[in-house]
Amino acid sequence: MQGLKGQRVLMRIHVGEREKYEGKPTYEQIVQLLRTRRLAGATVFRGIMSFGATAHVHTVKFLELSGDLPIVIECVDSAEKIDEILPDLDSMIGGGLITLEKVDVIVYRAGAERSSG
Amino acid sequence: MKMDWRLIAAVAVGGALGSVARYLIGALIQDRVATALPVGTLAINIGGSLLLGFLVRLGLETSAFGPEMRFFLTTGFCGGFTTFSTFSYETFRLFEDGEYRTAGLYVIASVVLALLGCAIGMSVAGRLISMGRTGLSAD
Repeated sequence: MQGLKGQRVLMRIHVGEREKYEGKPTYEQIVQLLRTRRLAGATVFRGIMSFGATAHVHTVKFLELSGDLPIVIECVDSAEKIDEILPDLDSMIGGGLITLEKVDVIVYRAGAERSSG
Repeated sequence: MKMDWRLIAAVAVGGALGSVARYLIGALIQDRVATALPVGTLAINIGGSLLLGFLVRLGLETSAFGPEMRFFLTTGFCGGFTTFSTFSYETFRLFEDGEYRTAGLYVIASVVLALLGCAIGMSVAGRLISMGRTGLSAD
């Protein structure tokens, strides 16, 4: 599980909570895809306020504007694996945003393998 | 705002159920209590606020239900269930009838108790969520 350390790519995907792909929430479908393709991992966040390409504001503060809150999915892996999956993601996402940035992976391990020193 | 028939349908069905529930429960309560204070509406607005606070927190801080279900329950059901317009009308009628004390009591009780209800609902949901998290981390 140490193979991920070093220069990797962080992919960040922004979609709306209500966005659907094949009848299911797009963020769930994306996580499923990332898992099936054996990417290193993924984390989903829900934001409390946002606006995007349509300039509509979504916020938890007003009940009637909380219908499409922002979802951010983060995933770190090698540039090759990320590049490979981008076309699929592009076809799954209706409205959204994907960004990539270079990161240094310092730690990557499952919970049981705590560092001994 | 983006018009979305699924959200609109969720709000429509929730609102229909909520307002019918209010009509039945409100009449039932008021019928049994012989008082000038509109306790039916009062109980409904407090109960609905409590429920809304609970549901919003649960909906936004867990993945227990998606946005359609959230809107069905909150904007739809709780929105149809509680009623600010009836509260306004009843207050105005009390004033017209010269029942100033009852009117004042109704306004204060409605605002304070409904706010308190919402706070209690949110805090109960918060407790439930943190209990669930503790339960999860145990395995």
